[in-house]
Amino acid sequence: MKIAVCFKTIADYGRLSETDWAWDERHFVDTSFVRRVFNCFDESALEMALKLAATSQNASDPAELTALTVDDRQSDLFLKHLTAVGYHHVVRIQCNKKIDLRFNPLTVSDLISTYIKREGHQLVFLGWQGGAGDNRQTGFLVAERLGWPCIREVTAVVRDESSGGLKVTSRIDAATLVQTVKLPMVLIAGHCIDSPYLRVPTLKQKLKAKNKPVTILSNTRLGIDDDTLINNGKTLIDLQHPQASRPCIFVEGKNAREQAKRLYAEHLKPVFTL
Amino acid sequence: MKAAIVLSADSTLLRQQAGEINTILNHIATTFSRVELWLFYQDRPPELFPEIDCSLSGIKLIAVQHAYLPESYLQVLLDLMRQHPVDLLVFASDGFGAELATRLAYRLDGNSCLQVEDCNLADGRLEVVKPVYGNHLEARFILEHPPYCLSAAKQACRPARMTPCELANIEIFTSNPPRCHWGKTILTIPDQPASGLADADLVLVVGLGAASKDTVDVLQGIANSIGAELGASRPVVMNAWTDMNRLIGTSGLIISP
Repeated sequence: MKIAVCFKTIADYGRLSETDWAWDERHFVDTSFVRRVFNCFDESALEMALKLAATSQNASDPAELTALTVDDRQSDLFLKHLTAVGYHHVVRIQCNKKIDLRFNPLTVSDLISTYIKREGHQLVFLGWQGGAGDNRQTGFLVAERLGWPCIREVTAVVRDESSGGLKVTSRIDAATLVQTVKLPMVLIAGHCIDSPYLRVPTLKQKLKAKNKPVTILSNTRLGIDDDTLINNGKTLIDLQHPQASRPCIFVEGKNAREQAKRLYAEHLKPVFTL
Repeated sequence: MKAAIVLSADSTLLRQQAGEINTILNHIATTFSRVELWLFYQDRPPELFPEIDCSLSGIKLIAVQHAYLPESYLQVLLDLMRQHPVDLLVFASDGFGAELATRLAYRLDGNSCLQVEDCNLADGRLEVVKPVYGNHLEARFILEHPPYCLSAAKQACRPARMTPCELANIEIFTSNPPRCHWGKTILTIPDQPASGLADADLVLVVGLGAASKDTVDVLQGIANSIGAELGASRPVVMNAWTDMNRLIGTSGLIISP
C-alpha cells in the first residue's frame, strides 16, 4: 500500500508582533526571521500515517510512506525529520519562486495529483487547513482531480483485516462516522486527539537519516509549465488588517481596591448570578 | 445576478450558518435579480425556515438519502445547476459547506473561495474578503469565472430566526442515491447532547494556562456555579482536558455571548 502524506510548514505566526504584519508590493509578509513549524493538521496526518504503517508491517502489502511538500529549501530540515521518524521517501516539489502559490490550491492540487498518478499511490493524506492562504481546498481538489472518493475531518484510521481496506473515523455535524472503505482514497485530517503531534526521532534515527536524499522535483519535470501554475481565476488585489473595534469600558477608581469593588458591583454582579 | 443559498435543514448549527450568510450578503443583496434557498433534508421536509435578509424568490427542498456521502449532494446540485443555473452559490461555514463549494466549482468550471467574510460586485466581477495568515490579515480577491461558489466565514453574528414560510413557490426535489463503490460498512455515533455553548449568555473560556485536567475540572465547577458554559482553546481539547464540543475559535464554535 503506497501512502503519500502531503504537508506544509508555516511560520509560527504567534511569534510575530503586531508591527511585523506588514507586506511588500507583492503582498508578501516577511516571516523569515521566525521559526517554522509543521502545520498542525498536516502534523496529525503525518503521525496518523506512521501509526497506520506500524500496524501493517506484517500485512501482505506493508505500507510504503512518502512525505510530499510543495515548497522551497526551507522545508528540507522537516523532510529530514520525517525520514528519521520512518518515512521511506521524502519529496519536495519546487516551483518557480516568482509564482505565488499561497492562494492557489487549484495549482497545488494539480502538482500533487500529477505526482500521485505518476507514482501510483493508493492513499493520500492531507491536513484540513492552514498556511498563509488558509484555503482549506487542496484535499478536495486533489480528490476531484484524481477522481477518488474523499473523507474530510478524519480523526483516526486503521487497517480493516477482514476486508483488506481501511476503517476510517471522521467527524460530521454532531456525530462521529466510522466507515470501512476500499482504496484508492483521499483522507483529510481534522482534529485528531489520538495523533495531535508528530513523534520525535531519537539521535540514532537522526544520524541514520542524515545521508538519505531528499527527492526534488520541478513543476516542469512533472509536465506542468509555469503558465499553467499562474492562472487560477482568483486574483489577489489587496491585504488589509482586520478591524479590531471592540467595546471597552474603563473602570476608574483611586486605587486597585476601589477599582475592584466597582468592577464587581457595577459590571460583574449584575451579569453573573453571584 | 441570480443566487442560491445552500444549507442543510438537519444541521445543528443551521440558525448560526444562516446568520453568517446574511452577514456576508449584506453588501450584495440589492444586486440580486433572483435569490433562492436550496435546503437539504433527510427524513421529513422542514416546517420552519431560517430567515434570509434578502427577499427570497423561491425555496427548493431537496431530499437526500445518504447524508454522509458528499456525492449525494453534489449530483443533485449539478442537476439543479443544469435546470436552474445561478451565478452565485453560497454555502455554510462548516466542513460540509467547504467541501460542496470547492468540488462543485471545480465540476462547473467556476471559481470558489471559502471562509468569505464579505463580498461585493466590482465592474461585474465578484470581489471577496477572507481571513489569511491565521486570521492575522484579511485578503481581498477578485473571482474571474462564474458560477462563484462561496462558503461563509465563521463569525460572531445574530443567528437567523426560524419562521414558517409563506412563499407559495416551494418545490420539492428528490435525489437518486449515488453508487458508492468504495464504502463497505458505515456506523454513525451521535454526539452527546450539545454543550449549549453556541447559545450561552455567559461563557468561561479556558486556555493552555489551565495546564491540567484537574484545573479544567475545577473551572468547570466554577462555570456551573455562576451559570456559565465552559469553553476551551485548541490545546485544552487536544490534551483531552475537556470535550471536543467545547472548542472555541476558528476550528470550533465562534460565539457571541
